[in-house]
Amino acid sequence: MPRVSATFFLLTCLCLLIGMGWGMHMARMSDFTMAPAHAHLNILGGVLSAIFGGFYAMTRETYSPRLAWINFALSLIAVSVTIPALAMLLMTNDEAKYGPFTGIGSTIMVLSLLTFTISVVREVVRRRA
Amino acid sequence: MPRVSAAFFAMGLLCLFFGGAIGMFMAGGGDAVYAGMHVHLNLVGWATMALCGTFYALTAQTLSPRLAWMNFWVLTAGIAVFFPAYALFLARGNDPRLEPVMTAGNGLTGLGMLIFGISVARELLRRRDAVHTS
Repeated sequence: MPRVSATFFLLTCLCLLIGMGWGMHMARMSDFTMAPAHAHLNILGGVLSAIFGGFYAMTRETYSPRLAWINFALSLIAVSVTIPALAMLLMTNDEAKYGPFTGIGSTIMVLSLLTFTISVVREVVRRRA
Repeated sequence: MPRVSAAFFAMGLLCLFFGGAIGMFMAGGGDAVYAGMHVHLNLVGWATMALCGTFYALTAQTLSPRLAWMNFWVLTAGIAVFFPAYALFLARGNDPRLEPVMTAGNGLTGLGMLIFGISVARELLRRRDAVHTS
């Protein structure tokens, strides 16, 4: 597995460990205000990263490392911005203060997905023997 | 695909069948209190198992079978402890007596993820040949 894939999977582990701990904490407190932040951390940080990492490992002979690392960096930034902002938004309901950060974060996530789309299209249309 | 990967997929599928069945039960007018169980069977049971299995299949040449199987059994044990307790918990209107069992199951699942983390760190840090250094 290329290093970029292993790095994606490491992000998966980190997000799932934090996300699961967060879920258990909510259950213990019987307060599920933060549920959307928990869910998005697990899915955007955990599941999507694993899918990205898996794809680059399966295209290791033909993928573009530069695109893959850009994809990773964007994912990392997007999750690190969106999830804390979303958590603060849910906790304080201060849309004016935290709304823009969730907006910026999710836009970066879309950019990450677009980068991945380029990688995928590149693999679809590449010349084959 | 190494056997451990296929085992992850098989166990994940078992969870997906149950998770899907609960979803269909709710869609057919069943009690919606089971929504949380549906979501978590599909994500913790199926998605997590499938992504672990995929990881080990993609590192078939370099994985540690001992770590991989430990990951599989600890995660499976966590799921086997948590979900029946969660079902009873919900069926009995959030019966607090089941909370310790659920916490134990969650602890095992967390431990399984930690073992997965060790496998991933091992793959990230291993020495690479000159061809695939990216």
